[in-house]
Amino acid sequence: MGRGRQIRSLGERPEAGEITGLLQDWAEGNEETHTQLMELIYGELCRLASSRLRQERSDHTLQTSALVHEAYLRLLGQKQVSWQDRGHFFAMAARMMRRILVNHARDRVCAKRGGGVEHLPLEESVCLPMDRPEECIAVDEALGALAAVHPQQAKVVELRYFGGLNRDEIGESLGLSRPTIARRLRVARIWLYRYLHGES
Amino acid sequence: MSELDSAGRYSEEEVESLLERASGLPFGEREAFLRQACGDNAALKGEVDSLLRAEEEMGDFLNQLEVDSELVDFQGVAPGRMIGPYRLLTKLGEGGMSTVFLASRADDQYRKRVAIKLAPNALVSSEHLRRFRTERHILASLAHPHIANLFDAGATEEGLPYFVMEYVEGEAIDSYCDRNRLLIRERLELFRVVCSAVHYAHQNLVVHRDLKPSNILVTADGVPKLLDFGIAKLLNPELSLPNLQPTVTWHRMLTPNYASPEQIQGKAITTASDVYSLGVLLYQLLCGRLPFDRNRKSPQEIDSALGEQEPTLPSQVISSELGAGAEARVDAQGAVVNRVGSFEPESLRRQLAGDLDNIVLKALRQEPQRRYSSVEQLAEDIRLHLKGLPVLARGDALGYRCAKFLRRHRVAVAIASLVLVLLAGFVAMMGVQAARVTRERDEARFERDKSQLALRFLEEVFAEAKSLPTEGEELTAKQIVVRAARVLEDSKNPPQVEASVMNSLGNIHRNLGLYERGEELLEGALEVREATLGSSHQDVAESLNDLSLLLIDQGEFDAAEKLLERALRIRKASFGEEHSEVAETINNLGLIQQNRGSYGAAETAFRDSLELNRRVFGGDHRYVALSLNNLATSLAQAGDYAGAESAFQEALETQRRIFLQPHPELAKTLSNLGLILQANGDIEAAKEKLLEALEYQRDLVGEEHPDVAMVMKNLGGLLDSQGEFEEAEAYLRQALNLWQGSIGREHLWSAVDRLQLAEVLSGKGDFTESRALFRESLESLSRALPPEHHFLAHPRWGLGEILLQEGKPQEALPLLRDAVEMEHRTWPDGHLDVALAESVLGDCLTRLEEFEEAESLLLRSYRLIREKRGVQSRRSKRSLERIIVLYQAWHRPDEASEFRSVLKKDFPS
Repeated sequence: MGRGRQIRSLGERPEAGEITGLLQDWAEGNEETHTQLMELIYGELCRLASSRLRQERSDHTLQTSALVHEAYLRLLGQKQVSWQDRGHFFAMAARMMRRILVNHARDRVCAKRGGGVEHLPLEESVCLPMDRPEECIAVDEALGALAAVHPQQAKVVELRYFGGLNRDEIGESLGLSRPTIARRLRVARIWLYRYLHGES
Repeated sequence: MSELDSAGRYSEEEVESLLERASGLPFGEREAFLRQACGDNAALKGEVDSLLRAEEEMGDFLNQLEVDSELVDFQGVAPGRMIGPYRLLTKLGEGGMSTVFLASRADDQYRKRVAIKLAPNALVSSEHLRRFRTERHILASLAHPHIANLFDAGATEEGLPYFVMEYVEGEAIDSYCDRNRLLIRERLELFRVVCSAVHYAHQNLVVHRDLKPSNILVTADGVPKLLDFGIAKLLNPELSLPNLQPTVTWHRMLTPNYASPEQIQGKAITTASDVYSLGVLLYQLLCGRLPFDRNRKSPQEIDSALGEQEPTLPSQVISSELGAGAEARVDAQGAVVNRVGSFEPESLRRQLAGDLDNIVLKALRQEPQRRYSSVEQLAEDIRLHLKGLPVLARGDALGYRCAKFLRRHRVAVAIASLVLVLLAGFVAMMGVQAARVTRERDEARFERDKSQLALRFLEEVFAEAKSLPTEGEELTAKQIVVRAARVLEDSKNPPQVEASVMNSLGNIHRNLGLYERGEELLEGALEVREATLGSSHQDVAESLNDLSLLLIDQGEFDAAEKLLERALRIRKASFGEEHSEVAETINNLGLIQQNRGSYGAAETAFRDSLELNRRVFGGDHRYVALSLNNLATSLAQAGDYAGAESAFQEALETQRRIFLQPHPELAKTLSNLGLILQANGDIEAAKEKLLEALEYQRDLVGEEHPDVAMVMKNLGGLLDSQGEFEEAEAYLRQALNLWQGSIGREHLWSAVDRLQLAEVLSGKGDFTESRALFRESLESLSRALPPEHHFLAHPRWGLGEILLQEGKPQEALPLLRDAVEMEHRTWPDGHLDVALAESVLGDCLTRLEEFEEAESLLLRSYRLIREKRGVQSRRSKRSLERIIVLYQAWHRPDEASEFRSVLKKDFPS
């Protein structure tokens, strides 16, 4: 994928507000902007993650959430943004966070087992406070399976678990009511548990 | 599974909504609901079933999905809001900890109304959710007509815990009683129903933790229903919010007016806590007041007031109101009448005085173990009262206060730790022998009264016992006896027979160390006998006597003495001056004096008792030998070892003549004689007697009897004094094991054994375990004995000795001065115990360079120890070494070498 190159090649930070236009373009069907958006968001998330260096926080959900929100502020500024745009942003940010976290978790597990670290999507010194890399990888895999059966539930989990978003934000992102999200999370959670631990 | 499958068979939404609706139902109704809702879609039903099962076991797996970490905004919870499948209708009430809504199911099918309780302050943590899942099962399974059902518990999307409960339309029990002006009897009946529900929950291992009138509603039909069972525990925020100030937690978690002392102090909460809260409720129902008004008090104020408070008796509440000034009296009378429905306040006062006062007090005791042992027992006492039968709670207020006094003063002696008293065994021995007299008398009575009723009772006990769950293979004696006492409560025998059985059972409980229950039984027997036979009957005297022995065991000497004096008057009046039961009573009065350390008075009593027995039985009788043994112990304790030895010898000879078969009393005399021979310095003879006693006891009662342990303890002491630590330690540990497994670790003997073991270990240099044993036995002894008892002096110098070994003479000094003073208060000059304490004090003074005082103490005590303990005893050696150290430190080499040569001569190796 060459993500490492993308980060470094990203160079300057985007203008605040630039991303709004990209989001709108993308919402209107411009597929090219998608890649650009991803790069922007990914780059910003990585940069923020680096700057969290040595901040000792144990709850990686909170940390993720903070990262996503800070990225949002930096990329979209204080501008009025339509809820669809916010939603798109969050969905994408959650997807990116998932990638960052899972890769990082894999590296951590690899390192633990004494294997070489093959790729470093983040700068070496970056250490996201993830105390349970195995869980992160397992959830990523299980989520893949869940997406095949209950795609809506899988999306909600991605936003919640990897994006650290709260219900209002998930609601904005997916256009669902809070009770629906709660129901969805509840069943998804059981489903994931059953997939990873329980009966078939 | 593929997307096609799921699309073809069921959708996400279907699964989600069915799961939610099913989990909102009681467990029993889920299956039927799902079968109906899923129709012929077996795959859908299977999926929901499987998810429900998985949810029960998943614990806090990924619970961050469902719990928002941000602080929750409770504003969102208002009528109209959906909680699971329920819609909130109206707010029913709001408490410090929770808000309750009336709600109904949103779907048509289950339009029943429920109450939903939300806890705004308790954010759900992962720990919480885990507990929810394990406990809501238990709570939901409580099915009792007087407990409101719990249908479901969970967390809202914000993470607020909620409980879906049966909706009860009713009124708080206190206002229900007052508004309907229920009579005392009616209140008691209602209260018993409440007790039955609480007892049911306790049997299912659920403690309510927050019983109070607002949680006990009475419906218009007069049916009480208990709300919120076990919910207080689920809402306990301590685990989830560790950073809260303790006082904040405290405020949230309990209702101060109804909370038990252990709840207020944050200690372990058990069923006894519910007993306490029920006691508060009963108090309130009977006299319209709270026992303690804790409103507007800080937690610290309440906490610090806990120890001192005893509530005003309910009957006194009434009389104090009636005793107010004339105008106030009219008002008060009206108020009382309004409250309790009795039109004659004076008769109300009379109704409450006595049993009901006692019942309430017993439920409200500070110490959980002194309350009713179960809610069932509390309810039973009320039943007994309503039937006019004697209650368990009666009349132990005196003993209770004595125990409280002792507890309060324990702190004063708890600074020190212990060392053994050489003659400790004697005191304990006395108790056994006196107990044996009563036990055999009980057996005789059973022979005499071998009525069908008594037999049937025993049959019942053993029939019941068969169905008991057992720990291991065999039923323990304790289990059987405890069960017997319970069967007795339910039996319908004539009161006299019942009282006899109760009395015997009480004695057995006491011998097993089950003092509290034993006390209740003996008091019960006493009450029944007084009520049925009059207060001056010989059986009443028997109960008084037996109860006093139990009080002596517990160190409540003043109370015991009063009972015995009464018993003595009755027995003299019934039997005349010359009778063995009069002799027994006098003997037991002697025991009290002996326990107090008044050995002169004890000796007088035992001599009187001996003379009486001689006149009644002639020379060769068991009781004569017994009196001789007891007299000998008091002589020994007073320091007259020669007199003691000859009295023991005489007792032994008598016993050898009269017992044709091995007898336990002979074994005890042997053991005691061994001890006194040791005290007289005749170590070889002492060892011989003790070994004989050990063999004898083993033949008699087997290897594992508490009586065998006593001989082992004495042997351990002897070997210790001879420096044979390994053997001594082995015997003492074996004895301790035996006692801890039979009479319990708290028993005086166990405590004394731990002391002696501590002494051995101190001699071996194992200070860590030694110190721990000292401390442990100190606590037991302090509970068992009055604070000024000289047994409590030895711990001080024992600990002092350890401190010296550790190079802390400054710390040791006050302990040792205290110890020496206590020994002097008890003993005449020249007593070994004084010398032992003085020797340690002398050593301490050497280290503090107070050489002159040290010298006089060390020389004086050495002479005594050498004389009493034997030239070659460990203590003599230690004394000599101390003298040598003194002279070296004092730079007086001539004296030092003089004593060094003595040491060489006496201890050549």
